[in-house]
Amino acid sequence: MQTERCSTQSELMHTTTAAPSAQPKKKLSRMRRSDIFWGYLCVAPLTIGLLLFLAAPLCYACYLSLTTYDLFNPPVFVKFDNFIRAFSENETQFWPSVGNAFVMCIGVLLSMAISLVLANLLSGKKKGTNVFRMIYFLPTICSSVAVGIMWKRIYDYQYGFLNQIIGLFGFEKVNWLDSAHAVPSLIFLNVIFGMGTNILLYIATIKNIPRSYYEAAELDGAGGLQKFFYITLPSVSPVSFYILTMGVIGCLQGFAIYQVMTGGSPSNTMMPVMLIYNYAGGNYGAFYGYSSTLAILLGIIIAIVTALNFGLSKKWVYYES
Amino acid sequence: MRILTWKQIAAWICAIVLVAACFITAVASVTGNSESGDYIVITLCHWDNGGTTETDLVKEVCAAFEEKYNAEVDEKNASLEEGEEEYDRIKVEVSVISSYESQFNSIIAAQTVPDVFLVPDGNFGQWVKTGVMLDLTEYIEQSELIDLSKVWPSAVDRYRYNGKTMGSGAIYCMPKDITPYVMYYNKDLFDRYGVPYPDPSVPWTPEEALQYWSMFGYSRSEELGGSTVYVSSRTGETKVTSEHVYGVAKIYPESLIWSNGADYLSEDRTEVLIDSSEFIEVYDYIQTATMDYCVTPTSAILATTSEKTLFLNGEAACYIEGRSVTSDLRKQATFDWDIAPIPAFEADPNCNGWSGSVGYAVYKNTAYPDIAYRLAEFFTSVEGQLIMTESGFSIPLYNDEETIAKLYEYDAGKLPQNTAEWLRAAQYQRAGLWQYLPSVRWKDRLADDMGVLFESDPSKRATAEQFLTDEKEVILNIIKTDFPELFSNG
Amino acid sequence: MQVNSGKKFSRAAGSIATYVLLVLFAAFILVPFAYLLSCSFKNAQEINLSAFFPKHWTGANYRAVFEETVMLRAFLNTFLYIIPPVLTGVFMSGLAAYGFARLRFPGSRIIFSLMMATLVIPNIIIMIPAYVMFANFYHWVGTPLPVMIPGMFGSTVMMFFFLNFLRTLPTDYEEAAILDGMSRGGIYISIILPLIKPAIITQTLLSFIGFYNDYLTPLLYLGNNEKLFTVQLAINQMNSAYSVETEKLLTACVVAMIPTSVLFLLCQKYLVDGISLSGLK
Repeated sequence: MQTERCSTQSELMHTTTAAPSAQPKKKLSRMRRSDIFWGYLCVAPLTIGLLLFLAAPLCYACYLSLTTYDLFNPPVFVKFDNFIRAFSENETQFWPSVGNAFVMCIGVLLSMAISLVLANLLSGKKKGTNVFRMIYFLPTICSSVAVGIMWKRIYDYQYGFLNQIIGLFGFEKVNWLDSAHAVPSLIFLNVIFGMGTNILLYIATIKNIPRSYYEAAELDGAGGLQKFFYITLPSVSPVSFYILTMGVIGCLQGFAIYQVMTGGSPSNTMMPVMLIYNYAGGNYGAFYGYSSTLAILLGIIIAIVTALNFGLSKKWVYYES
Repeated sequence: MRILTWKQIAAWICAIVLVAACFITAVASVTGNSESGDYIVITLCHWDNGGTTETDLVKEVCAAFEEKYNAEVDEKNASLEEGEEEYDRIKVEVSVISSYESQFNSIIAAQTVPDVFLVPDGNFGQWVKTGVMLDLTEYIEQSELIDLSKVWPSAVDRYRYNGKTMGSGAIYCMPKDITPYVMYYNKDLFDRYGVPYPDPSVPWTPEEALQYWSMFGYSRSEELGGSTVYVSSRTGETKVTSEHVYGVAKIYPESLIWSNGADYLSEDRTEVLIDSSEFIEVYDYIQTATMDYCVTPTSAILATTSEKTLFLNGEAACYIEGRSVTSDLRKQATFDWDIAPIPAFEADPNCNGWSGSVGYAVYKNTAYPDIAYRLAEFFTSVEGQLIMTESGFSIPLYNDEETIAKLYEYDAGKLPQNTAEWLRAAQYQRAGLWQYLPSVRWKDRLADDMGVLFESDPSKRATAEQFLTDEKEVILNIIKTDFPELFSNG
Repeated sequence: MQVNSGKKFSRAAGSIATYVLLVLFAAFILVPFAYLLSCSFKNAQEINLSAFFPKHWTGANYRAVFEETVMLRAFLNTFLYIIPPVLTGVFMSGLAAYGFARLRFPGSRIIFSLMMATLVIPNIIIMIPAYVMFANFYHWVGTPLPVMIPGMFGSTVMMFFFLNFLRTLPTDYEEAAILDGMSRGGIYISIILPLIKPAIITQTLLSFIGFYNDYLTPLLYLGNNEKLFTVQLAINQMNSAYSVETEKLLTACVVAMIPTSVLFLLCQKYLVDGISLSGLK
């Protein structure tokens, strides 16, 4: 019997391999060999793809980050100069842009809270919940370029829809995308147009909470709010954690919507990825080495934040059993 | 046991055929149509920054060249002896690329550089160093079409490169146009607010400009009747208006700085000179004009509405821009307008702006350098220049009497009436800030940071002197990091 | 009685409050779309006026978008570029998931863990060096290959989704097939794929929407050749052009949103179920 290594993800295949174990030994080993052959064959394409288009660029990124490279002349090895430059006071844009990205993460939290409330309202058996669910999800499937252009028009100072509306109420026009307003405007847009997936996840989770919990709470005389805080909130915490983690990772790498809406001006809407793009053949010229350095730094920051997230999750995420 | 039913097999075959067909079509669409037929395809790439007017014009000039060249070929083929090989006709393909300057880096990377490509003077330094451009000096010397002595010197010199610095040495691009900058003004608005027209040849001094510009913006309320209240902090007067007309859509610091005898960087680009008193005077002026006199919109407003829109909508009385918008204004403006010199200080009033220019370079590894050169040359030749002048898009590159007379002829009866200002501006104006260094990050940074001068809360607003003194270090650091080689040789 | 009616009243009030809240947020989403749609029917004169609906409805913008811009070509391109990676990608991911779930081979655990580890690598690190590699080693920049090829090998996320789905399925059919002497490849094609059909539909849709809406990859690799533009690049070009014709740009946005919206309306059950499932692991 070959039970030596039974990984968690292969519990089920245990049953598969258990069947031929009753066969004579010769046949078994032929089965095993065929399994090994097919196993490698099945996994090969994805593995090769990841090696070619993920592992190789990753290693190459590390190399590039230690060079200066403009695509035309061969890379010049400069040791850690790029990293030193990134941490020196000459780099006046990157760290503020990382700060901007973190400010945008407020949107992730807001979106989480609002989605949870809406999901809670939608998870009951009310009329029209399906329609609402679809409406909330609609922006998720639309391209961020189109959504960005749409909202740019809405926020437009001169002819924007929003200024036309507030003009009806006699207010002065507001420049929604200047340095004072751009951040809240963008966060609002991110929250409203990014909650579709979150709502779906929350609805699915809330529906999975056993009714008996609520019934027991009702017997104890708990009101609606108490039920929400003592049962729903802890029960959905694993999903909240998932949304938070993925949301923050995505938010720190935001690009398309900011590029379309503001292009990085005012400076508090400049995002790290835009900066990296600018250095890599974008507006700042061809500085591929330095661009890779900044990308690696951003990657490290994202990794740290994710790790922190996991560390803190033990304090507030409740897993069943 | 059968693996698949017939239906499933059919589905699989369909799926595989679909994938393969898509894949092959997608790949074939790139490689397929380069050389088809008996003619030579010459490719040319161009930006869309001049709007459709410019791109249509470029296609027109290319078509004219194609016709001319093919006529020559036909003639030669007609007189061929038997057994001699026929000459090929050509076909010029123009591709228009948006965000041209940033996209071109990837064009070079992909080694899909067209035979002839547009080079904005601001990118010349960066691209010539990559070695993608063919040295055109010899071609020009042997050419019968081109007489450089008759071309505005500033148009040619910006495409010279001697291996280290720009401005002298071999020529790498054929200039396509020169776009002097002038001040467009809306005569109707000037009449309505009782402001005298600017002199056609003598620029306003900054004080005059401020005085006249601030005469706009306070529409008479009894005529217009609206609800927006504008308060002038200059006089403290409050007026009710339905609209706010800016004196000028945007004030460019460069024109004032140069005409005031100051400059941004030293000749060798290793020193930042933005804290000189003349420089501070200019920034001070712009700050006062924007914040106290409200004659020009803040940069935040310009971020969402273009200056051209403001001018066309009658929301700005003056508009500083190059010749290239003239043909658009002729089509779109619903009011009477003309041009005048850009306001300047008295120290050097002729130096009141920059002229833009773009040129055409020939790809070093092109298969047909001769034909490609002739195409680029055609744009610079008198014939090509006159096509573009006739349309109103640009003024000719030539400063000889004959071509200038043509300009007057073409512009006669059309707006603007002040044709002489183009020539004055073309003669004196130099290349813009983007030619100072091969990358413009330093200048973008200066423009970005300028925001603190225009904070709406006066307590947060920096003075020009504070700002420029602090900014000097920042700009210098950017230049040091981007161009360490400038500083390395002592 | 009093108490009861009070309760009824408060329940009704709560219900109304719920709907008010739901409608409010729905309005935040629908009004912009409605505004966009209405703008697409305005002409150049009306586009800057403040009326929500145009006085004179015109379909000219739609005609202009297809006749004057590269939009039609871009649609064709987009489908050409995304069909191969979507279909083969789903197939390959499923294959890998089958390998991990049902077959035992040395090193499977390590390979699996390494694959899962790649999920944490932020995309941005890969972006620049991948670009340089495609440019200098493969010479693929300026062709659609960088947009198509990487996706054709499948993705870890998809593989994990299929794996989770496979784990919930019984193995009876497979065992029977093995006893019949069917090969592993045959089992994957004739048994596993039909079994995981719902998951496949979900992932095909998600992957289609993802590729369709991708902006950065095509921008990097195809950004300078109009003939190769995808839909996203086509609208971005209209947006960044020197003279923007707002009414046509907004119309192009509407047009660009149509394919994914239609897919969503037709297959919303699969999408909703798929996304709901993905969070429950």
